[in-house]
Amino acid sequence: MYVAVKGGERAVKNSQILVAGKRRGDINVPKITPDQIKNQLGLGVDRVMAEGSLYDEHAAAMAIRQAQGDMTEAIFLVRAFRTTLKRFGNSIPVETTRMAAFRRVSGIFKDIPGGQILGPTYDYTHRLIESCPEDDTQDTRERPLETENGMSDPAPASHDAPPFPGELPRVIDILQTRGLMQKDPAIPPNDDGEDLTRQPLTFPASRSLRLQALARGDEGFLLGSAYSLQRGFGLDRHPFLGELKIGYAAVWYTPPELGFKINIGRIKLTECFMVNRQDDAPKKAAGFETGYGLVFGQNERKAMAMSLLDRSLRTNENTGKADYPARDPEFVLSHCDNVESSGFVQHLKLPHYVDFQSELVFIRSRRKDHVPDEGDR
Amino acid sequence: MRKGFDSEVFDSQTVFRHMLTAMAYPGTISGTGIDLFCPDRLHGAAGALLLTLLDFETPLWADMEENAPEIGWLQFHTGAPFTREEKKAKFALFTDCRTVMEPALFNPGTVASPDISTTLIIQTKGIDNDRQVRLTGPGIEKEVFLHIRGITLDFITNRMVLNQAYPTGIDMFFVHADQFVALPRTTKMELC
Amino acid sequence: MPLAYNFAYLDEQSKKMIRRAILKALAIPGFQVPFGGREMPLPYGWGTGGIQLTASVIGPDDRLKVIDQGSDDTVNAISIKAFFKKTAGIAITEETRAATIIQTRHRIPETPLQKGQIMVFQVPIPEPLQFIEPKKSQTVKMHGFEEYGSMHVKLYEDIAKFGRIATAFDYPVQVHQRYIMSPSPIPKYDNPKLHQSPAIHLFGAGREKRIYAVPPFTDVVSLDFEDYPFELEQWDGACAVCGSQNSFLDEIITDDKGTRVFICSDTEYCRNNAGKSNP
Repeated sequence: MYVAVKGGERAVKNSQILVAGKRRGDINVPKITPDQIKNQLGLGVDRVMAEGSLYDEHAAAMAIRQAQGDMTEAIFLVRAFRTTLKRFGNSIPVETTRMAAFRRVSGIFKDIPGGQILGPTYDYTHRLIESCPEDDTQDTRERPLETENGMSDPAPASHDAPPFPGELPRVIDILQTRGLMQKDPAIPPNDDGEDLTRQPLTFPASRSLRLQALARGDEGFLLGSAYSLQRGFGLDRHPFLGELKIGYAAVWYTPPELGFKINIGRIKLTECFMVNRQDDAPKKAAGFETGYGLVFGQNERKAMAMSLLDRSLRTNENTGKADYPARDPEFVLSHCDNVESSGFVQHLKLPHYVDFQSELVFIRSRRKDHVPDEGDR
Repeated sequence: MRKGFDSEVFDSQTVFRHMLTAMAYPGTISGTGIDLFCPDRLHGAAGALLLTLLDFETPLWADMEENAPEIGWLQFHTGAPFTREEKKAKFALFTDCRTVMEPALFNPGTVASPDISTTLIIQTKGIDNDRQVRLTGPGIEKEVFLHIRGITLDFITNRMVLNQAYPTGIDMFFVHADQFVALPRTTKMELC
Repeated sequence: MPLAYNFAYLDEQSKKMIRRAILKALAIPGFQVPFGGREMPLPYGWGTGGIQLTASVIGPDDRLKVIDQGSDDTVNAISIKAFFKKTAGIAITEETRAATIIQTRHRIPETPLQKGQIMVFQVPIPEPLQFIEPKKSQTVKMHGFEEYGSMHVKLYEDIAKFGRIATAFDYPVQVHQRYIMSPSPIPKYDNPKLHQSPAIHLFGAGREKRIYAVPPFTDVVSLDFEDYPFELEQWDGACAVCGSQNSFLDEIITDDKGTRVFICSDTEYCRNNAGKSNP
């Protein structure tokens, strides 16, 4: 007699042993260290921190190694770690105008107060796979050149000492001062403590919850959704990059027992403002509108997609109508989390034979197929 | 400050399981499963229930002053904010059941979110299964009889009216010493 | 990385929040209570809702049974049992009668449940109206105002098209004459076990962040029409192992010609039943 599903326990144990072996790979190749990952795969670490909703480079690096470089799996590891951490309180909102920026570009003005800072970017590299010497103990990297305005780009490897402290006014503030931009619907101070990690997403979602969901949302999902807007599935005009800024922001926290704020460290952030022309709302003066993106670490593609979506999800806020997927808050926000989507798509790997049996019984009864299958006993 | 649970993890689990069973089988009188010494006017079961459920997310209303030692004790161990507004309370504590007349003063939730309602914890002069009221509804196989000492007729009548508004409503725990009984909003109460 | 987790993994504050939701769920049978579901160390879709419920309810004296597809020995059931053994040192049982808590995916045991037992269901899609109206903003209103006409229309369309109601599992029920509820993807064969059951039934949807419940001794009615009453699945044969004719049977293909036998999906019931007939 064929016995269906015995021996599951041993199979599960073995699969855990096998995956641990695969993860380590060839034992003759040295094991990579979290430090190596942090240093040389830093953008990957940034992505895992952003979507894992936890600013912890070491945890992210460990997770990337443990997940064999599978970023969605690494993000999941960080999320599951995050839920076990004790919450001390809410920090004071970071002042992004006081960020120590090492990259800052605007597409809408030739020059901007504080200057454009090209910084480290792949934008103007030529995508040729380079062969580099395996032994690079000698630092042969070129030094950045002095530029005309005296601002030299920082050496990419030394983000720890950003060279541009001080204030950088927001480009969109300039448009607002000139009356060309509607006041951004300010995010009300989060006094009621809305927190996506502690409460379920409900609709209509406030802007605060929307931005939280997008900030930890899947980069690929956000990118594809934003791209659909650009191709006419939700935008009827070309959007512009108001400002994209990457740098370090100080984090301040007021411990209740102290009563005054203290600096508890700094985090790398990418901030983005997108600008769209707005002249078809009947009761508004013609002008510009903005969408906002803010992401842990350096991730320009994600911050830009986020700011396009922040604006598009506001389009039909009052009517509740959604003519395109990327304008539909419930569609975008319910499906942008890759820990959720990855789990639910992949759960189809679990046994479903009972439900399938119900379907079989139904289909057979529907076919009124009284001729037994050949194999019936 | 008087101590709370001996073990936050295991005492709260024990008390919760008794609450879960009590809520699932309304009218069944239960103990809390633990020993707890509460300050002054607070009955053992009332303290145990509140320590189990309260935290910084659950505003507490009570028929006492905010600076009462009982409130101080609950706040010290749970961090729950105190409120004077009945509608904002997630939990409301009555140390004297004669003062609870109109449960509708509290938040019955909304049609879309009947779960955001206030839960009442009411201290009584005694609870037993004598035939004062007859209970029927989910969780009750046929009928259960209950006797809540000190509860007013007005309260019973007002609760019957509130029952009509289901699914909105107010869920209640009646307490005496270390015993308690649950009456969710689905439980129908008739005078015997 | 932390090496020591709290008893049953979840921190106490999360347990409190879930416990409050459970009490509300029992007070409003069939209503989906939103809760601040946490990421668990198992993926969404693997039973995180059920695991959070079990973790919030379980204590050192409990005896836990975990089944998936009715079986104690399927891979995910084993994984969940290992999780609670590791994080809470919980005693595991396969005996339905001995279990104080039964976490399940897709089945209700054949052995009748008893007063005080807690069933914990893993739920993928808690919203029974989801495939009629995918927007939560709408379904919340439909439940609020008892606007269930579209559900009856859908079932009636089935009858027009197929001559019968086409839902085979996750067959919608109405609880306490009020809320329409998903019984989770159990085969409709199991639906009647919920009606006036002496046990406590808790449902957890981790990804969708909803908890709901059917209290004991509560009316649970599978939706149907007078002229097209609710019907259970039927099999021509009996279990090839224990001979049972009163149990949900899985079809097992035994060779590449499609030869098949039928065996009880509830492995514990099957074993006990076989023991009875062949002592």
